Amino acid sequence: MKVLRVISRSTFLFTLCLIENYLNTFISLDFGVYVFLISLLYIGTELFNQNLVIPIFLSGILYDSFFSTYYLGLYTSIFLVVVVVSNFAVSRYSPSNFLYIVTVSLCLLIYKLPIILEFDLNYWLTGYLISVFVNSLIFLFLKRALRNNV
Amino acid sequence: MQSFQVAGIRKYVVYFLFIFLSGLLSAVDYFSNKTLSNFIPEQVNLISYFQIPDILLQNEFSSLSSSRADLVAENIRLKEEISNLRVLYLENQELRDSIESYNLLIKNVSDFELTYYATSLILKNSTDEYLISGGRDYNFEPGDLVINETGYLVGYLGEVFNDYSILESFNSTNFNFRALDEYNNIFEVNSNGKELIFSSLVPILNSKVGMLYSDITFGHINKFPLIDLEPYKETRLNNKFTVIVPIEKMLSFQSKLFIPKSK
Repeated sequence: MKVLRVISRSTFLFTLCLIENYLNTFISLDFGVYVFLISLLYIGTELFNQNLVIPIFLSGILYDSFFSTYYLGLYTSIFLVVVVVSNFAVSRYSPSNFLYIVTVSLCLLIYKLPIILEFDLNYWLTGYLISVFVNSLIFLFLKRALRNNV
Repeated sequence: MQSFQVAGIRKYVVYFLFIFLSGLLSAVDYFSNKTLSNFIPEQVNLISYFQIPDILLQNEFSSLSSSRADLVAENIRLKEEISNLRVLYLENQELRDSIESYNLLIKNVSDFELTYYATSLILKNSTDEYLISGGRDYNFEPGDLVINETGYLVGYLGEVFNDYSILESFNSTNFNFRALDEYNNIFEVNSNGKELIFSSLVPILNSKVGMLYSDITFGHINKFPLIDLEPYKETRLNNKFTVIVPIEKMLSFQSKLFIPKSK
């Protein structure tokens, strides 16, 4: 049962990762909608749990193997760091919309680190700022919607 | 207070262990020349799994009992016929598109000693590299050129897997290409994501630069046009040219791409 749970969670996360990539292939504007990043942030802020480390690790390994030209483990560690950083932020400081926006900004920086290191500031800054705005809105909306439902 | 802090850190221990494990995997992958990261894609045909099976496009009602009323049977037969026609229609559209793009390609390329494999975009990854269909199943190799229907280069294959490949296009982080101009001057092409930077590797004596081409001297399969640098402003330093060209066109799902291979 435990194995089944890990497999289903990993599959779900990897599917989200695929959806994110498909979505950003369609969007030819200067920003991205990072569904998978938002789900990682949600895990970090709301559902932080040691049982989720293996599904995140596995989805990272699958992403690294199939879709990335970087070395195996790079995106895996990025995914894990995003979860740890977001959880650390909300457990250290009192949660507010401002904190969530700062967390999204910081985690998006970590998430896009390979591009940020390769390219100069004027390549990614505009897209990054718009992406922070769009993804923060989605994240806050998601949080509110799920809170109301519960 | 201190125990709270310890408990706070303790909850990240497993995460840190897995981050360490990821780092270890990266190190092993680095020293094994990416053997580790290529292991899973070499075992699995990923793209084949995403093709919609025919069974979903057709209704398998033909096995229903014949004892049903004629009207129901006729209805089922018609439904099946419609779904078959729908499949044929989609296939017909795809073939029409392929013929159209091949026709356009034929008008624009001069070398018919090569086989041009049609490929298409699958998705874009987080580092703005494109995944395209076709891999080792078509004998594609890293470094193979990718051209569009007008015969112009759009990039080259960075990595090749069983049934898909990663295209290093103009706006890819790793794009690095060498090309020759009409006067046989060598240019190195790099990308900063929004612009292509063309730098001549040797001093150029002529006053202008023109069309750049791929060339067999760089291991390319043939001579394909890359870009005409004439309309762009060049900067000259010690007889070496640098031309910066903004990247205007992005690839889309409608882009028709071809990979030339020798027969």
